[in-house]
Amino acid sequence: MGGTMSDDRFLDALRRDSASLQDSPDPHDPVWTRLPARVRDAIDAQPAGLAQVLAAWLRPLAASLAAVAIAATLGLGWLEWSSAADSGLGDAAAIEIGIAGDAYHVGD
Amino acid sequence: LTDNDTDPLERRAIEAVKGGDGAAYGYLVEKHMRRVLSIAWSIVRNASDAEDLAQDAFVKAYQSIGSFDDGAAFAPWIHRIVTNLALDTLKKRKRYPEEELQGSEPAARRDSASLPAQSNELASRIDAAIERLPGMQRVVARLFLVEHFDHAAIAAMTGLTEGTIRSHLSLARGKLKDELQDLYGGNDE
Repeated sequence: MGGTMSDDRFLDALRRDSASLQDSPDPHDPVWTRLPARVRDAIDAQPAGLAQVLAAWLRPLAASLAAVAIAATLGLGWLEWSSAADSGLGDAAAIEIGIAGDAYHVGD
Repeated sequence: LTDNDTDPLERRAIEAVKGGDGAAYGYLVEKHMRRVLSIAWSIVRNASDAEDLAQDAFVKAYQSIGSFDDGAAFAPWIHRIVTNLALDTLKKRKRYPEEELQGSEPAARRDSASLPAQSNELASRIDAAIERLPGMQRVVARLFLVEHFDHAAIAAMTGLTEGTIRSHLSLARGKLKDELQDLYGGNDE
């Protein structure tokens, strides 16, 4: 075969030889600690986005509302139970006694 | 992990950041910064600018993370962001017009001294040849040849169609083949 390298083979060979051109600083290069620190500082220096603000506010708010809802449910339940118990006791305790034609009520 | 894989830690980090835990973002930065920096450097060819662009890309991604699809891979997204920022930088530098790219000197690599002499010479020839390509041909050639992205990935990163990417690459290949004929002009077999 006397032809020149095909386009596909050329591109494959070039791609293989070009891999070493990737920018790959030494693992100990300060850029690997500097870049995350720069990103962190830049994020800290900027006002949080709407989503983050909402998330930061809504999470404790939702937790508080949930606590209030649980307390209200328990409270209402207790009140209902308590009033039911009271009325039940009242009914049970109300006694009518008749003596000599007069009616006497006990427990009202 | 490839660029398209999502690891559970990454997914958890994204959920945490969306929930307001900014510290969780550190995981995403640490995981992707090498590739992001390399893409930026490939396009703008300046270490300082590349670092600024990598920072800007991560900050921009953080600010927009609320719109990031749950379950999607972070890599293609951050690659697209840094590519767009780098292309904007080229435009601002007014280096984008094709004629201004002619004769520009390739930037020195950070670690060129550590390469073996022979591979350094080969790499330098290829680097110079790619650098002489005009505008988007150069960008596409670098993303394909150096960064090893496929056509679809480059299309997604640059906002161009796959057909346009193939066209740029075909033109670049012709020019590179002419320029590097003494290195790759041998027989096919």
